[in-house]
Amino acid sequence: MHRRQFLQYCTVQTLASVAMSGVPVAGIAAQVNANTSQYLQKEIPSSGEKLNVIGMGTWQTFNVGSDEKLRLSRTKILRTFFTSGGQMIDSSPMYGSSQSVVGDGLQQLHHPKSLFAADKIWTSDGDATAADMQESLSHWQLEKFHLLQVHNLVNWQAHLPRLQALKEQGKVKYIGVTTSHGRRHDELEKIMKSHAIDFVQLTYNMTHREAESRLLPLAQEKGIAVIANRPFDGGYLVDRLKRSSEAIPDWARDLGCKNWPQFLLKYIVSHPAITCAIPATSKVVHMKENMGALVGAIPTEEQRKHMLQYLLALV
Amino acid sequence: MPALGILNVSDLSTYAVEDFIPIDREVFFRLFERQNEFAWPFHLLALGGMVFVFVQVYRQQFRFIPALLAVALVVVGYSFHLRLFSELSWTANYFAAIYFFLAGLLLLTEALCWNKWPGKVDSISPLRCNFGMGLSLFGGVFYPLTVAFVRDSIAGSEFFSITPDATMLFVMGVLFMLPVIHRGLFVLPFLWCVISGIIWYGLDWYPGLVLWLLAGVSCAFGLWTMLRHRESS
Repeated sequence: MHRRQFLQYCTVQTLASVAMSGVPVAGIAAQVNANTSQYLQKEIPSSGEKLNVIGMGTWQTFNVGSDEKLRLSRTKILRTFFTSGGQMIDSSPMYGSSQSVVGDGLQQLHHPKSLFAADKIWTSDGDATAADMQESLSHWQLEKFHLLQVHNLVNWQAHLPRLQALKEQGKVKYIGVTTSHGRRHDELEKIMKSHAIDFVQLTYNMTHREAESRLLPLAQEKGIAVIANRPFDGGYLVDRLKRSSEAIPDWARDLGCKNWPQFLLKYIVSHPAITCAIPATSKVVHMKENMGALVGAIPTEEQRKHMLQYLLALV
Repeated sequence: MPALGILNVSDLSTYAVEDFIPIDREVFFRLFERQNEFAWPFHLLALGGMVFVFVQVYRQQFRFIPALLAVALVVVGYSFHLRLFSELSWTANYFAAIYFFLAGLLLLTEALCWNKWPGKVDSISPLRCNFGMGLSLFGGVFYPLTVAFVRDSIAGSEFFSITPDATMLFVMGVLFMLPVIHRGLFVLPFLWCVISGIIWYGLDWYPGLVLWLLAGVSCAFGLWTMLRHRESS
């Protein structure tokens, strides 16, 4: 390890330790811009920009309304996320108050430079694309999103051309579409084949691998980045594995997996088509576990098969 | 295409039930804690209201009971659904509407039945009255205690005129005890029990499924008494 790399490593480890120690949010706000280059990254095919492979979702977990106590706890989660190398945060107007809770947290953390802000258009009104974006931006307290996606393909025929126009005007960097729970894959496939999009978001985890057959190869062929949502199948997989009291196998530790969430995440992000996985959590300790998947090795194809075989025997 | 919230009805088929429950259990229970903090000591007034209802039913003096229930429903519709829950889910606006609409129907009942009460009390059977008493006692007393016991927190429990389920169960129970009311009044309490059960199911909190059980039992009991009444007449 070179001296520079060693110093970077020490800085990040120190920040992570401070993040866990309960230091008041404002006290660490200026330090959350951790160097992200030492983490596992993938390229966004349409631009070549590199992105750390573990992001975070906000479905349910960040929808806490005006509850000050819970807002503070979510800011601590964001702080942990950024000090552990996090970049992509994904939200949606559908997620209740999640956008404004994220925005509030980012404000308190002085808007970390490493943020990759991903949001969605969620309205049936095809003329409201820009207005929906502006409203979401005001909740996030940002001037621009990195990525805007059509949520669950709602009126995508109207929204995608408008998003394309917003991209050409420089008002958003990347555009895409989303689905979840394995729904509407046929329609998603048609969009991927016929429209110039940068990202797709879909459900992909160790027990829901339907996307492997057509969508993931198509994404590779078309140069579309893929965000994997529901990496723990809505928490079910982690709960099941933790309840089983089965310890993580030694050979998985060689891949850098210290716990089951890291095992599940490493499998997902090691698929060549997957750019980023976005687990959601409302607990700092779980965020720390998730972000641990950002370091260590990426499993090979052979190791992936072994991981899958092992897991399917347990669940 | 008709719109529900910001979605067309045609889009609804692409969503699952859990898509409309954008909260986790911790946050939902915090709503009850915050509502109880906000409402205290209104709980004492609500308790007095419940006692008033039982005393009036015992005396077979039914006037003012629907109006009191309407006030409780409006308080919950506004202070819980609109003030707290709607921050987290747009569906709460529709839930509030259920409470407000039922409150309106109860006020209408009060007006229409004013001159019929206290007469015609014979039209209600002791069995129906006892069933209603049991249901309202469950909603007003046992359900709050059960939630407090299961969650090990009285501060996060449900109470009549403060939180939705206890209020609606109490209202539904009292409706069984009132004579000469329209059967249609039972539709909204039944609907709420079904909706609330779905929410609890979506949050994986299975004690809340007692609402489905009570809705089913109430529906079956109501139909049975209706058929029995028809046969006897």
